[in-house]
Amino acid sequence: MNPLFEQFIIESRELLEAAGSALLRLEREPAEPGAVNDLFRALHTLKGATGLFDMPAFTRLVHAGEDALMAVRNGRLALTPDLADVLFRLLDQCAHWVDRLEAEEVMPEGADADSRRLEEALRTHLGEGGASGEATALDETFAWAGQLTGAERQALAAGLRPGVALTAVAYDPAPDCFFTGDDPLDFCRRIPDLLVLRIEPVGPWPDLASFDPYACALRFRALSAAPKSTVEAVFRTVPDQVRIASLPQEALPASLRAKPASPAPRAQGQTMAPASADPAALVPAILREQVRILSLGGSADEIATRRASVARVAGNILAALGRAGEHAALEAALAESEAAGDSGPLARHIAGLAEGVSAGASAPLRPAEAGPDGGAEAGTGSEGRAGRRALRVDPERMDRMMALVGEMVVAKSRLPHLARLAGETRGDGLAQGIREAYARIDGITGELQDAVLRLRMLPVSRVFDPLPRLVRELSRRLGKPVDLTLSGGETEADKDILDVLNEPLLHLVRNSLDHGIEPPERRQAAGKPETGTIRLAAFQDRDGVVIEIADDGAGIDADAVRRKAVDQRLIEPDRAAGLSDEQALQLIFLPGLSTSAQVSELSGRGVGMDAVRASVEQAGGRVEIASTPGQGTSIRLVLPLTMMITRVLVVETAGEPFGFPVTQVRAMRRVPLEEIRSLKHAESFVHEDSVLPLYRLRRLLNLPGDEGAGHRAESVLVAELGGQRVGLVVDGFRERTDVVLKPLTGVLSRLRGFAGTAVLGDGRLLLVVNLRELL
Amino acid sequence: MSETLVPVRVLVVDDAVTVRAYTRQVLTADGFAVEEAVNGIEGLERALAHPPDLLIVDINMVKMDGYTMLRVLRQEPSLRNVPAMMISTEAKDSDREQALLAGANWYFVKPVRPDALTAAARLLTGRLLVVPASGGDA
Repeated sequence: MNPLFEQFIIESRELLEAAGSALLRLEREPAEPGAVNDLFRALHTLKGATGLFDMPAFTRLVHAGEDALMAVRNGRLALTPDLADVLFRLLDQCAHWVDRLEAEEVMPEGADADSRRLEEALRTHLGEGGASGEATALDETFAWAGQLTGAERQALAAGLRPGVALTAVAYDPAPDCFFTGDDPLDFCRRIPDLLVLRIEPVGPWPDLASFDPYACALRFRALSAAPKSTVEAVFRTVPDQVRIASLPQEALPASLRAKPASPAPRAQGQTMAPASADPAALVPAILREQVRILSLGGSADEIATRRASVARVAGNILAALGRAGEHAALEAALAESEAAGDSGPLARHIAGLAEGVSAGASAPLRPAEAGPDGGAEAGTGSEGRAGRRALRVDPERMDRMMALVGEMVVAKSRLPHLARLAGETRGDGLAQGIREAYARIDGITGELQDAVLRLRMLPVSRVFDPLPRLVRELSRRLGKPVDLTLSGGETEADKDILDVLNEPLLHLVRNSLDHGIEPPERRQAAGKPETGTIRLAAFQDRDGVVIEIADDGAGIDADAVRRKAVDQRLIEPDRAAGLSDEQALQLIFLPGLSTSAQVSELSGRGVGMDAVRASVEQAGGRVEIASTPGQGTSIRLVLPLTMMITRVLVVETAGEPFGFPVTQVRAMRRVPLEEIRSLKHAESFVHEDSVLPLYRLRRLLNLPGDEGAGHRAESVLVAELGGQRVGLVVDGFRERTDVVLKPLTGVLSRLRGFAGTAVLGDGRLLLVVNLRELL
Repeated sequence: MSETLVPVRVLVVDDAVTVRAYTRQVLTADGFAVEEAVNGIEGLERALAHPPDLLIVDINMVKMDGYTMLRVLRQEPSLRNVPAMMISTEAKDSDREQALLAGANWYFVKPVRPDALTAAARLLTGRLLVVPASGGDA
């Protein structure tokens, strides 16, 4: 992909995200000007970026959004929930386009129609009308422009240019204007390109005795060939006393309209967007613009400054055209202007240059080949980018770095062995030296590993951010008002872990709203506040990152879950009856179980809690659930900090070390032999009032020997898998440690029951067990 | 006619990364040395520290917009005559006029075609634009 396009994809995602959160803020606090400005700016910048590529539908849609926001900002339009919906849809549409653009680099088919639909929806909100009303008001105010005297007609005819609208001014100074320091006649004199000026008494003259010489009794009517905005600038201090309108020439009597001269002068530079203009046409256009700059009003200082920059630009243009020899004449014109304090001579000289160039512009101009300075970009790049917030790194490069750190951990573990060898075979200080070097390398490796891991860490807010939007939409659709509180968004976790979290979180929040939170009337009847609460909290604990989703809804009825599971033949009726409420809750993790009476449109069917559990466990984590009927449900996702480093509990069996991810380990126990019950071949034991199945690691892995003989109790590891606990007999427990897990490759990859291998600190190879596969 | 060996320096002030990247790409390909600033304040600082040969300034920016930046910059003796180009998505003549009033010498409506951008940059900085017609140069 073209790097510029890549940049565009990244930037537009950021802008759309910023726009989304600003829109949420705006909806919550419509009075806050910051939100509407942020939103407006994000769309504005996005519009500029889309314009660089050929995607007119995208640009148009963003533009339409910008227009609507402008109206909101000016107070012409209220941000109703419906309008917010349309804007959210607009952002979604854009996000969708960005995704497609990233994948296919072209806008999807139908983008045009999609854009028009949303544009139409926005227009409905903006409403029509206004324009026609303004037009009739103009007619009355400026009726005089159609009834000019002969002299006025002549002046007008001389100054009119074809196709250029006139600007009409109706200025009624306030009677006390002299006291506020206004000089009405001076204002009128400063109207650029003034063609007609009429000064009239406001009403019949009073008799001398009651005449007040300090009150303004005049009004002013003017026509100018300058654009409306230029004229408005003159009157910017008295906007309440003046009406200024653009008057198309068609509004004038036919005899007054300018007739196009036979070789139509190239007046485009003034009003047309030159972006699409032929670069050759730029020369006269830029020159003419300099003339216009010289005609602008302002303080003497401003005007002198403009003269300086215009003279330099005109000189540069001559140089660019290879006409540096004409520089002297330009200098002379500038000197004349400076001396007289009047930009006229310079303006006339440059206007002459513009004429000359456009007359002779038939020869094609083409940009010169890049000269000897072609490689000039060196040196300025890095400092120019200092404003970036973060460095973007390809995740693959980071993974490669992590893998190398892993290799280093393995490589360094050979050093103690070498030290031992040296100590046995030599009497000098070599062994000590190696040990010291090892200690140092060990420390640095640890820090390096930590630093690389931090590179991959992102705040949890990344997965929290889309939730307010989701909740807002669902709560509107379901008619259930809900407060969402998020805390601990700054908690950091590995990017891969966050990616895993994304879907489950959306699902859980959706579930809470759909099945957990009751409709307002039912909540009221139950004595709860009408507005439900969903709380999300993230924090770090010993095992890794914990995310809790708690609602104050109806809770889960354990009996209903039992019935459902039996109905759907997921469990035998007598087994279901034997389950404690806590155990029954775990049934919702069974594939295919849906607890709501009616399967709702929102949460869908089938893919439910089992999918949540599967993805969390795949990342090495676990899901816990607790619910009190009538009071709410709380679900905990416990995930390792990173998938690159796995914290394992090392156990020993048949003389070999094996690892278990600590997120799966619930307890380590010594279970007396007499407490182990045996039914046929299946063994079980009681743990915290529950009967758990007991397996023997040695048998599961087909290892030789028997742990049974000679001791009175078994070392049992209590592991939790998908809400179900099992016991596992091992020979003994060792340390907990962090390892870099390497997946099994080559022939080994066909081995079932292992998540990967790692190297222990003493250099021994550790096999990390995948219990789910093993059982 | 040979071009100068010292690169012509352009300062691009825009808060949109993509637009800056685009401008940089187009201008560096044509042999300009491009510096970037992300808002008016940073633009002013850079321009003051090392006056460029050309300013290309966006209008709508956080912290300090392009108009304000140009106004302030024009009061600086070393910068009062530096050629300045404004680029914005606004196509209205009133915006163009505001730009000129603030001190711009030229105004482009986004998006700007690469050839138009380089041609304007060459014109405003005095880098040779015309390749003499074959044999036209005596």
